[in-house]
Formats: sequence, C-alpha cells, structure tokens
Amino acid sequence: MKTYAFATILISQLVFAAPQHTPAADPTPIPISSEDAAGICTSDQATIVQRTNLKVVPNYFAKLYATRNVATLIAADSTYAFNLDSGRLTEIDAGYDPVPSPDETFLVAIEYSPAGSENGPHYFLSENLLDHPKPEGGYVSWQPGEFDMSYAYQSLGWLPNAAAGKYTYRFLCDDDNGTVFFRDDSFKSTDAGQALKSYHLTAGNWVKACSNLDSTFKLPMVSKDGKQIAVFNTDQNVTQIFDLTDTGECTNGRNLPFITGKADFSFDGNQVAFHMGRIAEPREWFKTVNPARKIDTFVWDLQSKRLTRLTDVESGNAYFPTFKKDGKVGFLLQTLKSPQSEDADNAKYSYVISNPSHGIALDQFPDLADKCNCKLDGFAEIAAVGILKDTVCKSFHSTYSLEDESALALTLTNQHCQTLVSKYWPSYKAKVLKEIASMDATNDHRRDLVVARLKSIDLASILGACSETQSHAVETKVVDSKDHVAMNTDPSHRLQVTCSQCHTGTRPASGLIFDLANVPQMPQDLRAKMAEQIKLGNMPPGGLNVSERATLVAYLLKPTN
Amino acid sequence: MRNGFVLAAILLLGANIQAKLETLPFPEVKCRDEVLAKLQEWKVTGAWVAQPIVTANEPTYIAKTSKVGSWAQIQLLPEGTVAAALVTAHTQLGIEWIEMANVSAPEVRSLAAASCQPKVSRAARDIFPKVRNEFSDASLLEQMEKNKSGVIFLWSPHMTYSIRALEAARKAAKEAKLPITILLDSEADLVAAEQVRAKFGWSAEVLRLNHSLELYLLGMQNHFPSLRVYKNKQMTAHLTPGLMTADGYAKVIRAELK
Repeated sequence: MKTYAFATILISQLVFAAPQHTPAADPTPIPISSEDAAGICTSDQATIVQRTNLKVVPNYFAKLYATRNVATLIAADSTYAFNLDSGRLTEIDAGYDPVPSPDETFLVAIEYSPAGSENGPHYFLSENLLDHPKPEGGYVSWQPGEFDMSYAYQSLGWLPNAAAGKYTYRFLCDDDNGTVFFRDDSFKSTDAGQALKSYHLTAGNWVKACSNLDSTFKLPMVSKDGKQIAVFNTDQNVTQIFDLTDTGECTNGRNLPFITGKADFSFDGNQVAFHMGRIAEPREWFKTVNPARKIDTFVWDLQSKRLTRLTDVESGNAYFPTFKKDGKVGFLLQTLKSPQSEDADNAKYSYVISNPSHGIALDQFPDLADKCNCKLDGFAEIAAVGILKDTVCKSFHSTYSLEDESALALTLTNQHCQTLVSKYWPSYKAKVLKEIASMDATNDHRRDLVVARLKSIDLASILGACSETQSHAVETKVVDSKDHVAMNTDPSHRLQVTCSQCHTGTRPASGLIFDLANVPQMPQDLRAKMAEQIKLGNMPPGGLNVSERATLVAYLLKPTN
Repeated sequence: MRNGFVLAAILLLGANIQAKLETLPFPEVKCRDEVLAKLQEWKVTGAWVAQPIVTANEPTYIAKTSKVGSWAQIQLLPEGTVAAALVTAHTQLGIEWIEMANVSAPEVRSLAAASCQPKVSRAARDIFPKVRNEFSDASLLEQMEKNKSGVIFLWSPHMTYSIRALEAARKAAKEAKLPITILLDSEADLVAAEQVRAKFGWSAEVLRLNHSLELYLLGMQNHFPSLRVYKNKQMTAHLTPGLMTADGYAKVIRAELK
C-alpha cells in the first residue's frame, strides 16, 4: 500500500513538473476479472443459471436431460450430446429429433438407415451414447416394430412401473390428418445387472389420442408422466392442454391465450414452457432500441395461469425451452451482433439454463422511484453506474441488457456495485463520459449537464448511487405481477412526481414530450420556474409544488392534435 | 386485487379468443366507447389474441385489420385506461386515452374537463431489417392480388422436418394447381440456409426471407415448417404447423379452399 501511495505521489510530481503541452491521456480501461464479472455482469440476468456457447450452427429444437447437464441437438447433419459444463460436443450420430426419456435411461431418435434414408425411431441407451465412444458397427439400439414415416415422432413420456427392471414409455406421433397417436413401449431388463443388450422391448399398440374430440391437432407433446398432452389445435389456432387417459380420451381441456411454439411439460406436470414471437407493445416503441420483434421463452403455470417471461433477448431469439427435473429450464439462445446484418457470422448460439422462479429482471425495480428524484444530482450518478456496468461488462457478455441505465444500476447488489465503482470507475470514467455524450437523448441540455456533473464528481458520490439492497437476484419477477410496481393510490401522493410516472426508464412516456415555449395557457410564473429547473438540469416537475405540478399535468394530459 | 383483475382478464380471453371487436378483451376499461370507435375506424376485423406482456400488469392483445400487414394492438394500462396502436412493419400510430375524472387531485380536476382525452403519437421503425431478398407485406399483397389462391410455406435450416416438408408442400401445391411461395425463416442463419439449398439443389427462391408482419403475427414464425393458404385476397383461417406428407398437405389445401 505504501509503495503504491509513494508511486502515485511520485508520478503526480512528475506530471506536474513536466511541461504540459498536451492533456494527459485517458487511463486504459482495465478488463473486468472473471471473478468480478460473475457477480456484476449477471445481475440483470437473474434467470440465467448457466450459459454455454456453441461452436456449431444448431437446430432450434434441442432437448435437455432430466438431471444430467447435457442437451441433445442436431447440427451439420449429425446429432450431438452437448455437455453444458465442459462445452464439449460429442457426436452421437443417433439420427435426428433426439429426445431423452424422462428417466434418462434411453434416448429416442429417428435413425438413418445405412442408405441414408430414415429408418424409424430407435431407443438408444443413454449411458452408451454419452459415456462411451461409438463402437464398430454403431450403437446398440431397439426398434419398436415397423414404423410408417408418414408419422412424425414428437415426444416421449415415462410411465413409472412398479415391476422391477421394467420401463414403459409413451411414444407420441402425429399423422397427416392432424391425428395424434401414442403407444406404450415396454422394456424389461433380462438380468439384474442391466448390462448392454439385456433389455427386451415389447412395442405397444397404437392408440388414437383425443379420440373423443373432433379437431385436428399438430405439434403434440406429452407430459413427462404421459398423463397430459399439449397440442396446437389447427381448427381454433390455439395451443391446448388436455388430460390424456390410457385409452386415448382427452379431458379437462385448457386453452393457452397465445399462439405458441411446442410446449414442454415440467416434471410435476403443473407448468408448460414454450417460445413465441411478439412485437413491441404500444408503449415500448418509444423506449426500446431493441428490434421490435423477437422470439422469447416463457413458462405458463397451468393452475395459477400466470406467465413468467424467461428471456428478453437484447438482439436475437430464444427457442424450445425444456424443463429439467429440478424445475430449471433450458433453451437455445440465438444472439445477433446486429439485427440488421446479413453477415455470415452475425448469429451466435448458446444453450442456456435458467431458473423460472427468478423470472426476468424487468425494467421496473422497487427502489427506482425512491432513488430517482428527477433532479440532476442523483440521477447522473445512477446513470453513471448503469453505463459503467454496461461498458465494463461488454466484453463479458451481450445476452441481456436492460436499456434503462438507472434500472441497470439498481440490479446490482450493494456489494457488487461498490466493487464495480471503486475498482473500475477510475479507468472507465472517460469512456463512460464519452458514451453518455454520444447518447441519443431526448433532452440534449440535460445530457450535457449530466456529463459536466460527472466530469468533476468524486468517487464517493458515485458510490452513493449504489442500491442499498443486498440481493436482487432472489426476487421473483413475474410478468403479470403487480408486486414490483405498486402505485401509491393515496390522493395526497397521487401527483408525487417520480421519474417512473413520466418515464419508462429514462425515456419519456409517449406523448409527454412538450415544448415549454408553446404552452400559452401556463401561468408565466410557473413557466419561468420550470425554465429555471430545466436550466439546472432537473426534469420540469422537479422543484415544483403540488399545485404547480397539477397545472403541468393538466397541460400534459391535453391531446396533441 | 389488481392481480386478480388482470388474471380475470387473461382467463376471459382464454375462453373467448375468437371474440369479436365489440367485446374488448378487457372486462372493464375507461373510455371504452372512444377505444371501440377508433378500432372500428381502423377496421379491426380479426379475433383478439393475447400477447406475452413485458410491461408488468399491462396485458396486451393484437388483432388483424382489413388491410394486409396492418394490425391493431391494445394494452390495458394500470389506471384502467387503454393504449392502442395501429402497427405496420414500418410505423406505429399510438393513442392513449386518459380519463381526466380519474385524476384525484382537486387542482387537476379543476383544470380540465372530465372526459376521455386521446394522446396521439407516431413512431417509425422497421420491424424487420431491410434486406434485398425479402418477402414483405407488400409482396404478400402482390401475390394475393396476382393469384386467386395460393400457398405460403415457411421453412428453416434450423428445423430438420421443415427441410423434409418443403418438397412435400411443393408437390401438394402443384397437384392442386396452386402457386406456392416458399419463404425462409426470418431469423435463419443464411449460410446454413444456403448449404441446405445447395445440398438439395433447390433454386434460390427458397432463400427469400419472410419479412411479412402479417405472416409473423399469424404465428408462422413460431414453428417450421408452417403452411398457410390464401384465397380471394385473404388468408384462410387456419395455420398448419409441423411436418406432413404431400398427401397430408393436399388435404389441408383442399380444406382451406372450401
């Protein structure tokens, strides 16, 4: 420490002693350490448990093992087991649509024949595929009788069987007529050791699913226990969930209120996960810089009918979420360098494990309103922390990033914020200021004042912007929840002006931009006071009393044309 | 209480997904008459379909209008008022209705009439990137005007079955003597798509990117393959996602044209 202090003094003396021909160069930003990044750079990615980058261009459809940290996927005409811990891709060459059985014993895939054509579904032993190199002559597999390839294999359930050494799988297909069929294939272990080739497979009889309903269904997916089915009803253009009896009746129909991709059941059967495309909401158009369309992943609770958003991909899409046994959800993530680019290397792929109980970090946080007082002092510091986090973490990831720098700052725990600011602000300060100065702001004057304020601010002031909360990541943020945006309905506080009432993040809510000079009905003294506040870099309501704010709100609520 | 209200709204929609314009998907909204009048002016004709909401507690629905590529969105705001938007692939016209009587402060009540005030805003943004080889809503409209009826088929190099299905769909359309428009997943890796095209010897037409907002909001990008049929300058009612043989697609096409 002494040596460092001495060196600092010495350098200062040298700097001051030297002729000052040119301004001192900005310090080189130090790269964030992986230890710091693990806490700081994932604070706004509360759902992400693990993300493993892929070095191949995969199919969207990937499936996750129940407990093993392995996903099966297809790429470049072959099938792979993707170890999510090591990032290793093992070619298993088991055909396409590889689906692990819920108990993990088997992996079922449509096998290619030696001639290259499809040879129907085969059961492969998972342990052989995942743990041993491919033997001469290929893996041992079981084919459950003849299979008409006009059927499309869809998914697999597991019917727990009390008999020792016996396994029954509910194998689901659909056909050309929009009819869903299943059959129960049973395996019996022929010796206690469950050694290779020690199983005897008995293929079940085909049973028509939902035989009691007069509808056409596509994209059928069976629950892990085989007792429920999710289908896309093409007559009604809606995804439906049914209870499925052993004789094929579908009962207890429930509609999802969305047009979704394939649905995957949780292991307890109480939730389904799916992806779906959306466009920006009416008010999002004015705050987001993201592409106005994207495909994100969601979890729907069948009992509470609550929707949890797992992803809000900044630039890209997320596909085919599937559950692990512990309730976590894996999905394929496609990130784009630029949504406007046709470059060959524009897209990157990774497989992500997320925790739905954490939900996505929405752009609204409980203490945003308290921290954000609409005045320049306070806001500038919070914005600086948010942009510092974004800048420092750029090299670490580019998956999710909240656009609102204030919200971004407030995702950090106090400890991570303190580390970020004290360790990285000195060398990143110049870069952050440049970033803010180049931002497309709705109020250039205020932006310039923010930059001016930050230029002369000390480290302690920036540290003062850190949230006092110790943990944000454990909060459940559910899309249809009101928990985190509780409005104060007490009339005396109704017009209490906080940024969140007029802004979504730091951008103005739609229609609330106005030109002070063109407010003829506004009393002159109020206009002067507002002009003074704007000059100070505060938002117009900052510094106004309740009556003055009411006048302002009345003006803002008038139609623009 | 508020959560219960929103949940009820979602449940109601789940049961009435095909509801007509006269029944807004929200059981109670302020300025209802004004909202409905605007939606009628926009010629909203389709059923309301829920959208996955991003903004907490603000359920959102979309519906077709009579114009291809022009969709209406409505969003319930926390105060019980509504934001509506008329969206195309390039623009948004947004309106929020604010009921002045809802503002509690006496200062405000005295300053404005207790009526529904629309706040209008306009924004321009391209929902899809501008590329040379795209199939836009204008392209779709052109196809529908040129042909009495036809087939739209979407494939992706990232979905194995869609590669298999492409030839089947083409065969089915040929047998039905209908033109088929084959479109590529708008999010597809273009190198991977080209590799598949070359492998199967398909013409470059299969690389035309789906940049039609109409097809996107009709759910065609949720799964590959996806097939839809149009006739008399309108898309027919049903989306057919998933693999089928040529015979299967032929049955779908016949049924849609009935």
